[in-house]
Amino acid sequence: MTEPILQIEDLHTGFDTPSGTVRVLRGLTLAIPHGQAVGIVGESGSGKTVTALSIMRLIRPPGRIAGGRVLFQGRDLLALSEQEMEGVRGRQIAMIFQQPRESLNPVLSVGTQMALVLERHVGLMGGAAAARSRELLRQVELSDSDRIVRAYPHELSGGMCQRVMIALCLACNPALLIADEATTALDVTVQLQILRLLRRLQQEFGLTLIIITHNLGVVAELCQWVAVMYAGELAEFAPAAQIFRAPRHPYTARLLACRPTGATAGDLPVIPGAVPDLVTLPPGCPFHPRCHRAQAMCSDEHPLLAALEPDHHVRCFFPEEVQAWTPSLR
Amino acid sequence: MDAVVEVIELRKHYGVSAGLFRRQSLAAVDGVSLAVRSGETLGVVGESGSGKSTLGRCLLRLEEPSAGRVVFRGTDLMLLPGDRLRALRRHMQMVFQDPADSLNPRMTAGQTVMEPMALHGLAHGAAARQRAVELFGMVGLSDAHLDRYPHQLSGGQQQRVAIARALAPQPDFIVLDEPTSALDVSIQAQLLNLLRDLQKRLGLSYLFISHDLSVVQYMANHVAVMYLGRIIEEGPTQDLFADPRHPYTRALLSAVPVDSPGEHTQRIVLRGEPPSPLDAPRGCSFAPRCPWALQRCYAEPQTLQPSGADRLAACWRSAAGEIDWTRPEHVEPEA
Repeated sequence: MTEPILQIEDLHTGFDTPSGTVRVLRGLTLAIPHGQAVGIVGESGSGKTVTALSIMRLIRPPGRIAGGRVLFQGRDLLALSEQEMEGVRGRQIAMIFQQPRESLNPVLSVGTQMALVLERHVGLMGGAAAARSRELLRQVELSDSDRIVRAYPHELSGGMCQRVMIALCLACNPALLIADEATTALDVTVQLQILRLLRRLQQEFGLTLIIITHNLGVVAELCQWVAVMYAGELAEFAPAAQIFRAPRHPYTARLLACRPTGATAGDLPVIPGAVPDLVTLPPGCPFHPRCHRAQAMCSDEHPLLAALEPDHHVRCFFPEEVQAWTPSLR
Repeated sequence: MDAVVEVIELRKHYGVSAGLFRRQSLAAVDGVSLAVRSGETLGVVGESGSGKSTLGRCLLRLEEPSAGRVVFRGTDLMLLPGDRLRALRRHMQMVFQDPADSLNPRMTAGQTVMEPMALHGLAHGAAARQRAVELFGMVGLSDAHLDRYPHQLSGGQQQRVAIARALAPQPDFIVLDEPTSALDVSIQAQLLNLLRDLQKRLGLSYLFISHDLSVVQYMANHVAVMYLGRIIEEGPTQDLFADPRHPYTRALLSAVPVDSPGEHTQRIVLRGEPPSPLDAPRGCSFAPRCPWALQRCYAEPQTLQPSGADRLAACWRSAAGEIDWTRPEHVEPEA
């Protein structure tokens, strides 16, 4: 594993509600290798979006970060002043979201928005800013840049808006880009275009990517590493090839198996029950009530994340055998 | 062929404002014909704006089609007066994408399921409740769920209630519009198994609308692919997925993200995005994005033509056997 650019250590984020604190992140520890693409996958309520918002320190009351460290290039982001954090957000760590049109200002043209960002963050103005805007739009493969700079967000398609958002992110030359369900709202043919663009940017600029998604296919397309989250903690973390070839956490294994593929005949394997309510988490391993491998101790003791191989971390007392998951079971 | 529902040249146009005094017609569904065979599932796939949901709604006359016919077991729905249509609707039900939106938040799950029984005069009082208990058992809910409100149920449980409500009047045919798209992957599998199981047990016929190709492949016997209001390819599921005949279908299949690297032998990365139905191209609506389009494609649309056994495709070049799928050509239209 290459040197991490971002290290999340024992991160706790909760939301205070009248019926108690909802602990969305419960001691998340995760290292993001420099220059790589890391997918964070999980179902609703797993804490993947709150992870991104915690890194950016965008958690607003009643939510709060209750503890832990987020080391970015060696500096603890949680210890920075709000003013220092302003210098990190956008400039060093950028983020794109599921609804790009909502992230753009509806009453300003794309050109104006790009000029504002370039002036504020990079100090470029006038002709220099205009030239840089066109260059950025070319980098995100918007060839008709003359038309795009004059356009307003409502005149652009979802895919184009997402490209504009990526161009705005690139304006500051960030080291890390977090994409939160950035292709979920797009059609599959447009999704493929955006995934290709992100991969090209990763390779060309050495950008580190955190791809947050519920779609395992998207992760497989783009990521070198996969973090699987369940109920606010890491269930499994490993190189993508290992996750897809030989998942070790029973949750990961079933999550992969329960999606239909062309080869599926008969009933789909299922994960019984539903994602647990974070207020009333079951004792022991949070997955044990749904787990096909659970034994008595799983309901009593909380498993720790353990390295089954140097790069393969799993939080489970009874991980899947490697041989048990051959393609024939899919 | 024993068809439950037959749709003939269905059109749905919306008038939209195009400036102060001008109105323009938007063709959401533009001459669609299809048939759902008894006891089978017809999958309808397409991207946003392809008209697949409008088609589903027109099919049940939840929305009034602009033209065309919908024939249910020999009866033309378009000719029926209101009261006869309501009576016939008992046999045709719908399940929507978001159960949180389609369930009444002020009604318990039990009331929701008993309402259509009362509406169609099928059962009242204790008999209706008994039937609701039965239906809940069929969809994998317990009696305890009868008195819960939607907000007390998970997304998967809500969708089970919506399915139970659709089953309450004992329909033959159900339109399923993205029934699992709002659910988590692990819950989706439970619901897909349930829908297949119910189909087998009750002999139901489905129109299954989805943007998710793998889900359609798993659920459907036949598939119709829509692009900008028209069906551009149709055929038996396994044949169509194994050997798509329309360039759009081929591109769509190749764009689906897959787990194992190397599973896609050839990726077709399309240019641009689907055009707005307000600004539909004159010729084949896919031509501006098609890697194999010729001048003829830009000038004139091809209609659905037979393309082998039980297959249909609307493509000039595919029909002529001119396409080498391994070699995109990219011909730009003449100005």
